[in-house]
Amino acid sequence: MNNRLRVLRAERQWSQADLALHLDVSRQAVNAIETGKHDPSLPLAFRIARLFQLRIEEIFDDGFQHD
Amino acid sequence: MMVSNMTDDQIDPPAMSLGKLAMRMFGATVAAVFFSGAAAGLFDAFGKEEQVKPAGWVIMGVFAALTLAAFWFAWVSARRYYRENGPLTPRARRATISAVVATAIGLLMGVWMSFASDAPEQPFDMAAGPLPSGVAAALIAVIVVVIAPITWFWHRNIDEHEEQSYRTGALAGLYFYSAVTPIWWLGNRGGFLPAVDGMTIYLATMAIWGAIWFRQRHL
Repeated sequence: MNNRLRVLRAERQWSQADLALHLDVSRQAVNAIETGKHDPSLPLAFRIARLFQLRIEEIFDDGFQHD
Repeated sequence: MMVSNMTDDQIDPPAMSLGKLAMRMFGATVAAVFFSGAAAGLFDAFGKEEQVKPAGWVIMGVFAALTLAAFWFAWVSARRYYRENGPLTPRARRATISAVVATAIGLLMGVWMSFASDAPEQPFDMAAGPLPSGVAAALIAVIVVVIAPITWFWHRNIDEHEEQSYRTGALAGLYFYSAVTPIWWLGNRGGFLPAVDGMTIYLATMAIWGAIWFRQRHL
């Protein structure tokens, strides 16, 4: 699943470790989500959305095209 | 929308990978074992000499210093990894510390087991050699009383990515075990394979589990 996590993080000048601290996960988890190797659980996706004050679908893109 | 003009290196400064740290730790361990063994061997040989030449003491001192240098290299590497990849979150710190403690206890158990089973009159067999019953009982107690609670604590503190990596590794290990054990057993019944060795299968299963976990988690 594509996501804008790295861009959002860069806008705040956060390192992966900084974002990991905000989300209470490891830096490896942040890296895996950013590179699309790990899709976050729904609770973690909500935590990410709340942190950036965005909706989940504004951060994550599952490639679904609306008609 | 604000767009960052930071370069990749500014967003994510280059950091030492866990694979590189693991290689450094492996190298330091091999070096420490080799140099400390050489120093211990020389010391033992000196004990049988009436008079040791000064050059002998110098060589032994060099081996001892190289052993300390290997430990120092491991320490510096670990510090650099932490500095470039940290800071750890409280949860990650708890999980890491518990994993390191469990690993250290496991290494100590291995050393204890190797000394306890080192009977000069029989060939050394780490996997299946006899152990004094007291040592075996003590090692079992350590697993049940110490390792199991640490493992539980570790599970309580890993994040979902680690948990998924662990589960994927466990599933691969289970498939491996489920396939290899009956194949080996059938081969033995067919007369072209030796008897099934449970410890060999256990170690291979753990290796598969660990390799898949590492790939998922760190690569």
